[in-house]
Parts: sequence; structure tokens; C-alpha cells
Amino acid sequence: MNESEATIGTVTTPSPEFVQLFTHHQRRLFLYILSQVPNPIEAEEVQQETNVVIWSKFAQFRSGTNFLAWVSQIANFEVMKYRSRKKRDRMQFSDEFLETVSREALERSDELEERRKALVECIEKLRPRDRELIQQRYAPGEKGKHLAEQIGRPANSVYQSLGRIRRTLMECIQRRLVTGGMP
Amino acid sequence: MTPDETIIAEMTPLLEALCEDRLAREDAARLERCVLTSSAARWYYIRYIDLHGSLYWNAAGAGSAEALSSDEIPTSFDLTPETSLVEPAKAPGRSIPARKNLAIVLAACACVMVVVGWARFQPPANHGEIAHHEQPVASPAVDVPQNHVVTPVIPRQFSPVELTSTATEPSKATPVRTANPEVIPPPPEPRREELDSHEVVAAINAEIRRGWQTAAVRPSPVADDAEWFRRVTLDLWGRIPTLDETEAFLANKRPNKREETVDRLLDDTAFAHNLTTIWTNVLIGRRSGPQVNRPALQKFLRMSFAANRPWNQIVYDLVAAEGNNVEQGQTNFLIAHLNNDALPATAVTARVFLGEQLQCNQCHNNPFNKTQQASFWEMHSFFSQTASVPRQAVDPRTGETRYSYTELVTNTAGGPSFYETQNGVMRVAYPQFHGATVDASPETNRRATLARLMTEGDQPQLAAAYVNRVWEHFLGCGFTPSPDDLGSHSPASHPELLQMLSKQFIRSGYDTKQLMKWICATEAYQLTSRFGPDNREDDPVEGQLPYFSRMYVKSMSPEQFYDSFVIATKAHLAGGVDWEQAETQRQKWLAQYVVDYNTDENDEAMELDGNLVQALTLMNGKLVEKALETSPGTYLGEVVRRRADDKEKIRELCLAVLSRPPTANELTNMRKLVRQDAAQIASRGTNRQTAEADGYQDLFWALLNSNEFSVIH
Repeated sequence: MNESEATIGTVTTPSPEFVQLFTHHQRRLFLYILSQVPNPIEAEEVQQETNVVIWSKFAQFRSGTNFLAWVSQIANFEVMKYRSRKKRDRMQFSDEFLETVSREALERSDELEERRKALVECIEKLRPRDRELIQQRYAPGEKGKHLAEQIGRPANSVYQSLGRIRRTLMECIQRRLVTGGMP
Repeated sequence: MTPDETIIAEMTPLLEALCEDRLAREDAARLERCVLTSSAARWYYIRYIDLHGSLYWNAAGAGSAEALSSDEIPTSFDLTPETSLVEPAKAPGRSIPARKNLAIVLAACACVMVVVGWARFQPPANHGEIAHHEQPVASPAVDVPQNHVVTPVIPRQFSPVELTSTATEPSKATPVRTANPEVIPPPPEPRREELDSHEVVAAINAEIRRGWQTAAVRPSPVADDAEWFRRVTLDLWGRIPTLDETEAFLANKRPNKREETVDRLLDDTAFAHNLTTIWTNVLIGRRSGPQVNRPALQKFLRMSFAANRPWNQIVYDLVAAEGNNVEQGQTNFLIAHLNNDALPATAVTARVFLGEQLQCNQCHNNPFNKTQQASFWEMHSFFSQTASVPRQAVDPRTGETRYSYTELVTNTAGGPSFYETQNGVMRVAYPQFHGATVDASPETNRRATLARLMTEGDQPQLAAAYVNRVWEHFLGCGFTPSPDDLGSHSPASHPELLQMLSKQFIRSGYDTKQLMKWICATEAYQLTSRFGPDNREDDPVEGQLPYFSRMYVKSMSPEQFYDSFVIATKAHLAGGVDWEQAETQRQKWLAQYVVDYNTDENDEAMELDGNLVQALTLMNGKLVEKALETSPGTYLGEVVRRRADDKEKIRELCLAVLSRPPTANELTNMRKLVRQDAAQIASRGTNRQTAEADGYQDLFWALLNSNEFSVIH
């Protein structure tokens, strides 16, 4: 038995440390999967399947080793399964592409995490109108198309705006990282 | 720009499309290429997708930024699992975010697992209590109920437009049908000038020769009769010639038989059918929605091309169309493009009729030529009153519905279009076309006005776009790399020739058949597709400007391919089907290969384009299986059973499929093959007659699958 397990009677259960690692890596895991399955709803589906596997294999995790590296391997396998299931109904990137991208996403995971923190500040810096629009776009259950109908603008002009706001956010994040978080 | 900046500029629109789930297949391939070729591109992709995902993840948490930070990874394990899990739930008035919810459920699940695990070792008396816990074990891990999340309340009524108070708001109300939309008559019938065809053709030849001299290429020799006849039949009728047609042409000894043949082909209904097929695809694509009545549009085109109506009048009808889409077939062009706020209608009209690639201007000014973003929206403004309405035709006596149709209507909306510039400023566009501003009041019938502005009198751009497309149809390459793009960033290979030919086309009264007669009579159109060392360089596929020193090989369109296949295997004689039936059959076959994209340009991709897929489909498809039957009554069966020597039979199969007799060398080899094949099959105990039939079957299969059959050369 190792440290990631605790015992109740004769049955092992995940240790508190494992539960915490698990909980706190949910976002990283989701974003890692998203780099390979770029549709968030699909990525979530894969994440949930990955979670089930992680949970069933907690005993195999060695405390003190890299948790993200461990779960990313499970995720890779689930992505593969998902892709072979979905083969026919949508466009797909090649295996080579996924490998290259996921390797780099994992290697630079900490850097990405820094960017995610900067993003929170950058959202606040958006013009109120832009912030509202991007929040509406990503609000659960919303999709760009319905959004356009709701706010009474041509779908395309909404797509344009969303693209522009995302570019603004990218630039803002870049600036914040360069200046070390100083505005 | 550095190479990295260029690649990132290329990727940005692709990533934007990817995030909005509207990336076309070939664009996905482009994106993948970018990412795989440059490490900067790879990192950019990761960062962009990460941003997209973070926005998605955070939004599900809550609407405000503070809530996001609570989701961050703690630097040390200072929180016990209990507090970290319970905390978000404590926040008053805010629901638990979906993904945190998931984690909680999973953690809860762990507890249940413990209970279940523990229960296994307990006496059965406790089962009732456990069953109570068992329910959530199976479902929650996989299925997080989304409705636990309360959508953040965001005011729905925010004005997207910063305008001066005088401007009118765009009307988004249900279209109001004007009792009488302003009637704008079609442009007057153009004057048809009698032109000396020899002079026009000579002028074209002189321009083409000038190009040869400048580039120091020597043209290929003139194509032999068989090659030329097959080509011209494919170009004008959309199919290879029948065996009888080929033999008649080869036997014809008249000196001007090529010219006479062009006249004969142009006067046949098969010509109108062929142009109808081509233009239906250009106008509405191969797959159209249920609101579109394809046969009605085809009927309009067929009648127009059969009567050789002036091109500017056809265009006027298509752009100004109004009414019931069953009776007014031309309405279907716009009905097919009114999705996405009629943005496709704007883009397709400009591209197809004027060779203007305005769709890029939808989002930004063109960096390569002077077209501005405003020009897209000014054009778009002309379509703002246009709508389509589903209706039912009712029998006035019985009150029963006779059929459903779509009506293309003009409503009384007034005012400008709105758009956003790249730096986020809202702008206004009033209907304006090539400098002519149109009154934006509700009474104006804008679309009919646009149709008139586009087609009345001398319209060099309308003519040039058409001439360029027709030239490409015959010569395999237009004067510009894409027939849809005459922009100044894409210079024509022969600008004087294009200008001269457009002018003559206008003078002829926008006469389609006249234009085609000229092109078919040019020196360039007579040349063979074979090339020598002196014109090897002349290869537009390699990105060179074309010199037309040989016939460029064209791949058959799927329709040409299907129809040619039917002719080669004489399938049309077996069934005796009428045109509509044949068309339905063909559509069914084609439908397997079309992929469409619901983008602003309504693009679609054809998986059948003279490539490997096409080859495989053909080799293994039902169509071939049927063609290769040798039972009595089939074409192949009839040839095999005929009392004739094998040379005759082989010659005929070759003529039927390749539209030419075999060379002496080919004939010897084919005979050898058929015999060897038959002998081999007979050696396995099959009777001689069947074995021989199998030999011909293999030959026929090989011919149908040859490269020579599936291209136009």
C-alpha cells in the first residue's frame, strides 16, 4: 500500500491528498484535453470519461510524482478512444498533430497556468460592452448563433466581435506576462 | 512581417472559426499544416485554445471574475479536502458551478464507494439502506446535470450600435410584405451587333501568339480529330461522344467539319442541359436546402440557355427575382443564400457575377487592393429587404393544400446595414454600388435597383467575369488563377485579351453561344494536350501564368464523369429513362460525395474530383458492377456474343470508352491480354465461352478505370 490510499476495513479508498490533487487538477486536465479535442463540449465528455478512469486507478498513483503527467496519459488514451468512436462524423486532426500539440501543452503547463491567472485580470480590463458579449458567448448553454439572435445582430458581426475580443485578451495576457503582472 | 508573423496572421481567422465551430474541413487541414511546420504556430495554437477553454471553464463557474480565482491551484496543501470542496457551495445566492459540481460528486462518489465496498462484507440485513445510496453511484460520475447552473443574469437589451440619433434602427420585425414593391423593369434587350467572327478569332490568336513569343514557348501540335472531338463534346454537352458519334466524326471528310460540329453541338438541347448543370452548381451548389426548388431553377436556366438569352438579362432575372419559387424558378438562387442574414447572397452575387471577392471585406479592408470593408456592407444593404416565406398553395374550390412553396419577397425595411470594424467601431453602410448611391427609404426596391445597376448597358466587369469563366471552361485555365477573382491583386495573364473579348461580348449583345463559337475556333483550342520540351514550362498547375500553348488537362466534374460513364457503357439504352428520371438517378449518386459548409459563403466540398477517391469509387462501385454484366441485353454481353473477330471487338470497346481507336501497338497488347486472361480462367475449369467473356470484362474494366477516360484532354 502507498500513501495515496487509506484503509477502511479491508477496502482501500483515495487519500485526502489524492482527492485534493484530483480536484485541483480538473481545470488543467480539461484544458489539456481541449488542446486535442478543440470543442469544449466534447472535451468535457472526454474529461468525464477520463475522471472515471482516474478514479478507478487511484491506487496506481505514486505520491510525490507528477500528478498532471499521470492523468495526461490517461487522458491521451481516452482521447484516442473518443476519436475512434467519432471517426466519421466530424473533421479531425491527425495523430501526429495531437501528439505534437499535447506534448508541448504538457511541457509548458505551468506557463499556461500563469496565463490563465493573467486572463482573469484581462477580462476585467475589457470594455464593459465587450466583457458582456464574451460572458454571454461563454455562458452555459449559449452558442454564438443563438447569441446573435438574442441580441439582434447578424451572426457574422457577432463572430467578428468575438474574434476581436479574444485577440485583445491574447495581447493583454502577453503584456501582463512581460511586465510581470504590473499593469 | 517575419515568417512567424505571417503564419500567425494566417492562423488567426482559422482559430476564430475553430472556436465558433465553423471551421471548414480544408481549413482544418491548413491549420494543421501551420501548426506542424512552425513551433511559433504550435505555441500560438495552444495559447489560443487555452484561452478559449479558460473562458468556457470560467464562465461556467460564474459571471464575475472574482469567482475565477477561487479555482486556482493552491501552492501548498493548506486546505483540507472538505473545506476546498464545500466552500463554493456556501456562497449565498450562487449555484455550484458545473465542473466543481463534478468534482464534488466524484468525491461524494468516493464515499459511496467506500460504503458499497464496506457493505459487501456486511450481512444482507443492511441492504435496504445501501440501495438508497447505490442510485447515485452509477450516474453522477458520467452525467453532470447542467441545469444546476443558473445562467448569469446579463441584460439582454444592450444596444450594439453607437449611432447618431437621426439614424434609423434596423427593423428586425417580421417582414412586412409591401402591397406593391416598386417595380423596376429589366434592362432593355441589348443590341446585337453583327461582328466578323474571323476578325475576332484572329485577334484572339494574335494575342495568344504574342504571349508565346514573349515567353519563348513553342505550342504543341494540333490535336487529332478523335482527341478534339471528345474534348469539344465534353465541353459543350458534358459527356463523351457515343460510339456512333465518334465514328461519324472520324469518317467525315469535310474541310470545315470542326466549325460545323461546334454549331451542331450548340444547337442541341444537350448543350442547354450541360450549361444548366454547370450553372446550377455555381449558383446554388450541389446540395441545397429544402426551401430551394432545384428543378425549378434548372428549368429557368434550361429555357434561358436554350433560347440563348443575353447574359445580362439572365443575371437581372436572378438578382431581381421575386415570387413563388415553383413558378419563378430564378427566385431559388437567392432563396438558397438568405441564411446567415443574407451574407451569402451578398458574397455569392459579387463573386459569381462580378468576380469580386467581397467576402473578405466583410471583416476587414483588403490589404492588397483598394476594396474596403464598407463595400461589402454597402452591397449587403441591397439585400436587407429580401426575405423568403414558406407558403402553401391552396385550391380555391376545395380549400385543400395543393403544394408547399417558398416565396421570395421584398419588404419595406428601410435604413442602412451595420457592421463592426476590426478595432471594434460600429459603422453604418447605405446601399451603394460602384459609386451609385441609392435612396435608403423603405419605398425603394433596393434589390431590383441593384440588378438594374449591375446589368444595364455596357458592364465591363459583368462581361469580364463571364468571359473569364467561359474561357476557363474551355481552355482549362482562366486568365486569372481563380475564375471568381478578378481583383487587382490577381493580375490577368492576358489583360488586353480579356478586355478585348469582354468588349466584343458586350457588342454581340452578351451572346453566350457567339462567345463559345469564338473560343472553340481559336488556335489554342485546337492544340493537343501533349507537350514537348519547348512548352514543358507552360504549366499553370505549377503556379505559372498560363500561355495556352497546349490544352491543359481538366478533370471531369462528377456530373461529366457520371454521364460519360453512362454513355461508354450504353446504360442509357438499356432503361429508356426520361430526363427527369435520369437526373434523379444522377443526383442520388452524387449526393454520396458532397460535404457542405454552412459558412457565409455557403461553400461545399466535393469528395469526387478526379482523385483517388473517385478512382476507388469507380473501381468498386455499383455503377461498375452493373456495367460489367455480360448477360444478354447488356452492352458488354452483346459485344462479347457478336460474331466478329477479337480485333473488331477490342477496337469497339476502345472507341466506346476512350473515343478513339487503339493504336496498332495497343491492339496487339490488348489482344494478348484478353487471350491470356481467358486461357487462365479456362484452365480453372470454366467453360470457354464464359472464360472469353471474362477476358473482355477485364479489358472493359481496365479501360473505364484508365486515366485517359476520367480526364478531359
